[in-house]
Amino acid sequence: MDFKETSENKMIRDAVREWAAKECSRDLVETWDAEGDIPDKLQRKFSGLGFCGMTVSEASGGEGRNIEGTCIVAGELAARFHPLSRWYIHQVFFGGLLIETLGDPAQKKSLLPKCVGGKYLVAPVGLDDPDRPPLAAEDNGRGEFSLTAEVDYVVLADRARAFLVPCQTPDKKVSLYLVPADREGIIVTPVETIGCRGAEPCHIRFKSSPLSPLDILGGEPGHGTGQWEQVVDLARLGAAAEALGLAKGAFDYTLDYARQRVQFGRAIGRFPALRNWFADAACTLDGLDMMMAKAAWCADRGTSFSREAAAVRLKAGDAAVDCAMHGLQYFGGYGYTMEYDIQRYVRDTAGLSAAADGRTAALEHMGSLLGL
Amino acid sequence: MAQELTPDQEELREKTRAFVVQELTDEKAEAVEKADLFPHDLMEKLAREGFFALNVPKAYGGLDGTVTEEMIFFEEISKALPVLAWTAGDIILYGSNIIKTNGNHAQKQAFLPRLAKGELLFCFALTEPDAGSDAAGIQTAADPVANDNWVINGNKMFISGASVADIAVTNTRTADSKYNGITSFLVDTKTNGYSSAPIKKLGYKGSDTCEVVYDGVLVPEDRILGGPECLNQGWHQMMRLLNGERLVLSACSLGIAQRILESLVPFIKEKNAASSVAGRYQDMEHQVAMLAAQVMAGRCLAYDSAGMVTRGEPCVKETSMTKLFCAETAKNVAVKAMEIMGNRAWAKDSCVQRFFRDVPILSVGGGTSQIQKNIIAKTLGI
Repeated sequence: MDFKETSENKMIRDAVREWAAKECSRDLVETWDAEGDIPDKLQRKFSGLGFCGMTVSEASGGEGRNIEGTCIVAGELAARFHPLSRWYIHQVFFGGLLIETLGDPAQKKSLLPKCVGGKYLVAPVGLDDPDRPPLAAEDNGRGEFSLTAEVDYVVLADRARAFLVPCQTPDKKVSLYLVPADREGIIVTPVETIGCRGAEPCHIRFKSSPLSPLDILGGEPGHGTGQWEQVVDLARLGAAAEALGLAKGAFDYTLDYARQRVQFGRAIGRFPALRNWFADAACTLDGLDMMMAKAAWCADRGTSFSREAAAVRLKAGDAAVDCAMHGLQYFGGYGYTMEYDIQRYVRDTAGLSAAADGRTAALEHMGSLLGL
Repeated sequence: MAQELTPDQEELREKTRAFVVQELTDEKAEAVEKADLFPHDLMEKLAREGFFALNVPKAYGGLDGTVTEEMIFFEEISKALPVLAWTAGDIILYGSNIIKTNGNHAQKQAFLPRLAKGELLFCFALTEPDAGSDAAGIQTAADPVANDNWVINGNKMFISGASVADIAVTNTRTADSKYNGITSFLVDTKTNGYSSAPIKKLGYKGSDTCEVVYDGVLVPEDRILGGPECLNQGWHQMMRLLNGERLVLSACSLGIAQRILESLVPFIKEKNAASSVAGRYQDMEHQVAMLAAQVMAGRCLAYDSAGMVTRGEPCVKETSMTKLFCAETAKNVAVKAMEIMGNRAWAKDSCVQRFFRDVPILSVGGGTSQIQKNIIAKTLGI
């Protein structure tokens, strides 16, 4: 067993961290957060770094599949500017990785270059409600299918180039449709949230939106249920990477403050009650690094990572909330002001329970894997 | 055994609830939050309803209420618009309570009747940029000058109501002794050299929480809280107020926690109704049951401690326990609600996210949870 981060991934971590520190300064992030924006210029700059190609093989024009590295990138971005991390996950997991894994040759040929260039954001529809059956597609009377439905909380739908929609056609076949966002009859309305502003969930309305056989992921109808399970696993892996990044960001930011803020003649971090919390949280984060690496390692090798992704998604989400809330407390009055970033970590982490398919669904999945 | 409320106290609760229903709709709460301005209109309505008289002695035009009456009012208001409880505190806590507890006869005559009518706003200026939990470490200096005057220089931080207040109860350093060198002055905020700038915050928007600068602010000697003989007595004067302040802040926590619980119940009922599997959300139900039990325990602790305060019994341990338990419970309720309700609570149109953003300051203001633990440990003899 080798616990050392590969030199390639260490290089990736250092490069993203350095880039994010330079391009996503605290002041800029404060502005983007207030405006609810991920500036186009920032997206273009980031896409130019090549990280969007990390889930696509070199043969398909990517950088070669490195899911562990992708999770590192997502984590480093989340620590600095959470919405960009979420945007990235939607590009590389639901775009590049899924299309290369499940797409047919035509889909790969036309879409993967866009994915690699960071220009093909895909939003899965219906993730937030695991109880929802596949959306019912109707026969439009001309031998084609169309979709009329309303779905809440589709993350980044307003920035998506396509939607991944699980649909059941009248012949009872469930297929995963990759529906272009500019398809007729689709109306997207963002839902304003208190955190992760710029990468918010949206309400989508499909009104007699045509579904083409060419939209079916992989081209062959009837494989949607299994494909959707892969989407959910990837969503959990991505949510875990985001959450772990947020946890570390909040932790580091608070640690820095606790070393500097002096009360009663000493740095507050040196008071045993606080010091021991930091120590305990550091242990948790170390453990989560291992869980994250294992889940991504499994995914990189093409073996099942379903259990690992659910586990790290649950624990990283909890750790992120814990780090942010403790951070807020330890900053005292200053933490409550908009001048300090810990309040943004609190607002961002407050939405993590809904990330991917939600905390409850991840627990149920773990339970079912335990035979319960 | 929790203290039972008297008929008059029950009546006050009903009256406050009626005010909440009439004036503090969710739409109004959202408007106050969005404007982020001191809610003068609502303060005037509270004044018209006589709420500001509730803890003022009868001799000065008040209703002579105890800390229990204060808690009832703060708890009910906090269920709808916590910041209004906070701004009302600028009169009830930091005006009337300070003056009736520590003011001299002339100060009581000058201020209490007007406070009872809501005609005067106070603010309490203690915290400084480098003196938060270590409150006695304040450095804002008051020095004697000619004609029995004092001049104040320094900075205060996180002072709620500072830009709208008429009087700033300003705690200053007047001698080297950490605890016996603090003097409280009743500073007229129109005096030259007093300036304030509101701070943007995560929650409690509209509280007018400010950074305050004192640049050669001249104050007459008779504006020392309690009179000139109370020079260097500021710390001890503050100590007399802490039990009441802890309980009132606890009542705010309880109000917020209760309101969030009331949002969780229909959410889970709706989830249950939509699920085809009976008992699917038992885990959520159990979590909410536990939270409800904790809120109930907090309420018992709080009103029981209030009885001790009213009876004049020593109760530093109990009020600190109450402050700690209620603030942490309310925060836990809010965090769990965000977890259980997910996007529904995270969305800006949800009142839950507003309470979630309001509640964290209650484990900081009025003595952090860490400071309460220090006090409790000390009272346990550790």
